[in-house]
Amino acid sequence: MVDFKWFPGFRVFVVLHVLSIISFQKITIAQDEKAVLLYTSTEIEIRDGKMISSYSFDLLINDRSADYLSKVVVPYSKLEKLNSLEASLHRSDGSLIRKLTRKEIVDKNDISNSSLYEDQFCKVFTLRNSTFPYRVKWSYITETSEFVTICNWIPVINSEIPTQKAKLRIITPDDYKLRIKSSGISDSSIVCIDHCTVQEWECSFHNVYAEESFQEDNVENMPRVWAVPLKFHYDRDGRADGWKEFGGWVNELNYQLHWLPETEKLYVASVIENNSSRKEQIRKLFYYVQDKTRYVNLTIETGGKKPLPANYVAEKGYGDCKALTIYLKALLQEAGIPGYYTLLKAGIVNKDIDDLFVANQFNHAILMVPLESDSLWLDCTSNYPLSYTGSFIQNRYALVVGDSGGSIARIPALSKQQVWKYRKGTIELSASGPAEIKLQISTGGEEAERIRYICKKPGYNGKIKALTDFVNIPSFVNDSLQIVEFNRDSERNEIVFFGKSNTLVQFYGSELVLPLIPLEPGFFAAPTERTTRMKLPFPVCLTDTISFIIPEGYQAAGLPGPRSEKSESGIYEISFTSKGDEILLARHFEVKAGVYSHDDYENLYSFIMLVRRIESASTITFSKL
Amino acid sequence: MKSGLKYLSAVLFMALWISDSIGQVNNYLYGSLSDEEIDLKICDYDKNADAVVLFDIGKTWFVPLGTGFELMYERTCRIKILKESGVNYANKIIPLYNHDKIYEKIQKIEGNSWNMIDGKLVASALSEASIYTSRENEKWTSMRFAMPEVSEGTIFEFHFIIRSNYLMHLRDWDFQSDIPVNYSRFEASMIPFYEYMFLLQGNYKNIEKNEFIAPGSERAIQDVKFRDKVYQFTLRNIPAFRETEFITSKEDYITKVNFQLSKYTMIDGSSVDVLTTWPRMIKDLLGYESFGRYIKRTVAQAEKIINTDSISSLDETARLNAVINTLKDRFNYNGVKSRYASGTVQDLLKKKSGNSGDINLLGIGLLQAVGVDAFPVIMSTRDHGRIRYDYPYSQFFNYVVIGVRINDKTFLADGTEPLLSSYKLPPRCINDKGLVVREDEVTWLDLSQKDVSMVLTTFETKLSDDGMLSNSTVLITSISYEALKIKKEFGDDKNKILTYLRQKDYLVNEADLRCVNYKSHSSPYSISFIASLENISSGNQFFVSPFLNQPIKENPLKEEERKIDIDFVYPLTQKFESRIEIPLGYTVTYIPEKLSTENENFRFSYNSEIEDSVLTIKASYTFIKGVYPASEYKSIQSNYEEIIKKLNDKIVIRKIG
Repeated sequence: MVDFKWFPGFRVFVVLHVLSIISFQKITIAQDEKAVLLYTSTEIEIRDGKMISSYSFDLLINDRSADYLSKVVVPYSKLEKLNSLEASLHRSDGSLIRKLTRKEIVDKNDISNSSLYEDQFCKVFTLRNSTFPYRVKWSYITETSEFVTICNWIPVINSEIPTQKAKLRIITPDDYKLRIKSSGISDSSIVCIDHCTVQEWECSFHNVYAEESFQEDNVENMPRVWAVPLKFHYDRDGRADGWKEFGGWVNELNYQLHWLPETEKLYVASVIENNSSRKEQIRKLFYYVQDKTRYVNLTIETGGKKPLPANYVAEKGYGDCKALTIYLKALLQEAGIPGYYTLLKAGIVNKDIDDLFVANQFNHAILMVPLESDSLWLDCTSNYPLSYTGSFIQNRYALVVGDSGGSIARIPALSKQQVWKYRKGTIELSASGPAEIKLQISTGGEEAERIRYICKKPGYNGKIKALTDFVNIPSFVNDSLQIVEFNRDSERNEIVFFGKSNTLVQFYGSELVLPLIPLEPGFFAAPTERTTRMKLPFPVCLTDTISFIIPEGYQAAGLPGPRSEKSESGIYEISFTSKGDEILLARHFEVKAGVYSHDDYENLYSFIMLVRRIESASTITFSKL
Repeated sequence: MKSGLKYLSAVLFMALWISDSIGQVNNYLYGSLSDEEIDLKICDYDKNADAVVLFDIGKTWFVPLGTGFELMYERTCRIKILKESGVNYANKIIPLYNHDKIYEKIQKIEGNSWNMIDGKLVASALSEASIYTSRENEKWTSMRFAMPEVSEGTIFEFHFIIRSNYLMHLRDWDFQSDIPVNYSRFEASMIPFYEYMFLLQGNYKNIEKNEFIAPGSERAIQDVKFRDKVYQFTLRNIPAFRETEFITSKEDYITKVNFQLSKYTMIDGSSVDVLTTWPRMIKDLLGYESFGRYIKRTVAQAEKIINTDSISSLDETARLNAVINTLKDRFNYNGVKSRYASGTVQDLLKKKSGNSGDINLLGIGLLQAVGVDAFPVIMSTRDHGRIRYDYPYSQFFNYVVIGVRINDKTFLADGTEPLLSSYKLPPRCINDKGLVVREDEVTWLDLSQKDVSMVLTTFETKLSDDGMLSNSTVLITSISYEALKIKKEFGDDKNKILTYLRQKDYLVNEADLRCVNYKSHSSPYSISFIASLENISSGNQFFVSPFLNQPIKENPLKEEERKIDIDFVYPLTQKFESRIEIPLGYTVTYIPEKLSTENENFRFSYNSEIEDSVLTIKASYTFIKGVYPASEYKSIQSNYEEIIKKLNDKIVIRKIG
């Protein structure tokens, strides 16, 4: 669903300079790692409206497990030409083993798995050696006259590979204005030469770490320089003085894309005629887009930044997020309802955009429709209800684009009520056979989205298996399930499962033992091992009401006492009550959303550990009467 | 393919040929929908289908071009979307081979989507502007398109013609698909210059076959007149192919017809047999520059690659190990499966990377140079499908490994997998039989693996004083293919292992995690760690999992029934040994019953003993065969049930007093 063409992405940049000789001592240190980016440089020169970028890399591979890094992919496109790609293989002392030949370079389309087609290309080569360590050096130059970003320079291959030395140089005419944001890097040096301004940065990256779960920012602690021109040309002239101006350029880019065929106009007229309420008209047209179209990602012409027009979607019935958004905007416009093309950085956990740094930070498009009391944030690639803001776009800044330019707005967060999951059920325990289970799961938020997604996926068997995974009872075998018909306007989904489990209760000697149905609060590294901040994008909230029928001829040997725990991170409550041949489990569990600092994480970890201990001690045993 | 053909003779072979008449086909015309298709809401024989192929009709024929022929391929397919979940079947990719002078070009492509709007059937055409050509790699391009206006209830159809000079590659026709197919027909119009064999596979017992001389006037090339002979295959109501777990390749099982060029005839009257005999194919291979001669060149250059004198002084087994380890250490497998070398020996020495042919043929030459009786064994990898032993086609083979004869025993080796021992073929090669390539000999070697792969997991557990925690030192030792599987799953990456362990609910620290012998070709691979796991409890009773959460918990065989073999690839043993110290003040009140069961397919044992407050439990199960017939499905499924229940059973300890 994400259109990465809007997002400059991470690139390791480089320079034309002749590589400096690296001391033997440094190489020795580098051999502790499986690979080291010894040197990388990027030189970007803005000249006569063109951006010429020269990249070079010198990568040391110490170990076979890092051999995969010797496969190099160099992207380019019709808008960004690639020149003079060169590469060579070296021994660790820098002596040449051999140069890459043209025959070894594969030139192909660069189409992501989520796309049907993209007019992006790449040149791919592999330079491997059989003895370790060895070095791969490569360099290339790109040239473009259409750009919005000068660089988003993060000289790191991945968080587990250190960078020994990285240099960035940006050369611009004296009167060329840039906005620069840097982090994890010392100040730049600025020199003026021949009516040009030369800015240089130099850095290294040694604090390698492995990716962690719910990591807020996947480039946290890495050096970074982000540079954007205040005036640029991409399809047309644009400015990035402020969000208003940048949004103005996006609006211009979308100009004249809203023409609709006559049949569509007739449909809109019928919607207006049959629905007097404005919200109802929006609802009808949004659902019309959902029903009529499917998400197909196509990146053509302007590198994917300019949407395909509304009439394209009307005729084909498909499009990417931008095209579908333009189509809905055109339909609403025809109905006299204003809608605003809106850009954002989508993703469940991603760090939000920096609202103070005007730059192209976006990867997704939606439509904002203002209502009298509220606003609707409509993601046309989803099959969500009208008023629902999905986990992919909730709780973040967005650039809302209109005729008067752009402005930053905040998309509301998913609330606890929205994500609340209820499980109700009856489990008939047996001393001689499997437990018979009826479990009703009503869920909202991201889980409900997943259920909708699974239901839309092809393949019946896979669908049932994926849905059954929601049950989370040991050895559960599904006999049948009933998906309560989606109410199109309901944010919640409900599934009733009927099945059995052979291992939920088991005999231990003469006693029948029932462990608690797992809560699975998550798996966490100890706070001492966590290096990055953790972000829980939305709250966790679960309530269980489950009745266990005691097998005939048996009685509970006693019930665990009630527990109620509260911490800054969450709430946990559990109680068991006995009524005739039934035991009723009532359980409630909440964890707060937000970014957890190291101290917060310690608190959360302690809370989760406490919950796990309580859960482990909440086992019920039954003995014969 | 050479041009300049002259009519000489025509013979067409067909496997399992029955002359029969085909049914009524006139309804299956591009652009013409029937009421039945429009009204169809559900597939009668597959009620859960997301979409159904209403018909799929293919045709291939030859057209004269200069002094030779081009091959034409036409396909018309109509699909109905029955559920919203089926809409993505309307995104299509047509792969086309384009390399050197060989081409496959789309000559024509068209399509329509049909929707019922306000009681009227409305068509939307697939426009040329929305068809994209993509270069996938150096050999393949593709045409990509999305059918317009597709939603639940849409009927769409597409029709295309491919023009090609790739006469060796007469496209397979798949009757079966991921969705049910109501009607599938393929028609091949053959000319006398090319002889093909038609190989049918899958469930084709109801196939309708027909053959006839093409009506109309004769055709001619260079004044040589000829008539086409048409072969038709038709199948109806073909269920969707859904079984994807524990199989070699879907291509081995779906119902399809495959064509193999067996002979072509030249203008001078000479003919070239593509289908030969096994001895002749072997002789040809040994004469090829990229096969037999490559080996000979390697022998000649062996001294430059290895120290032949030093290695020759070793015993034969050590020589084999030395050469195979040289291959694994010095050359990287580029992932391309091939029975041929892709370039010269010098190319491989320069690039240090090559396909399976480059590396293993080099290995054979090096072994011969140091006096080991080594020879090529060609085979088909699992994803390439099975070999049809009745038809001597070199195309059936896509891989070559190293065969060696030492002390009257034959071993197979492969230099492409550095994480496996010298005598193990990678799992991708464990597929039926391989053919020894030695002159004057036709020998098939069984590639199935009889050696059991094993994982042994030991636990040294101390319970916390309050009984709530099991603190265990765990050692997982694996050998053979199971070691390879674990190494491939985690790489040499402790973080991946930690994530896996934490998903099992263990409290585990990175400092306590050790991995040993990751890079070893032959030593057992082991992972050790210290894990804490909360024991469930009730009052003063504690329920301890002797093997923590390591045993399998979910039955991998979920389907009610199965129609094809269960292919686990190799026999497998899992052993668990747990030693639990019972803390003072506690007594053991329950230990799972001992068990010992064995039959020709499966072995399972569970034993325990307690001595001086130390409880020892040992369990082991073995799936004795790598492949089980579908008839054993229920039994294997039930074995898994038994394993899951027994190995996840707990011991109970009670606080005294």
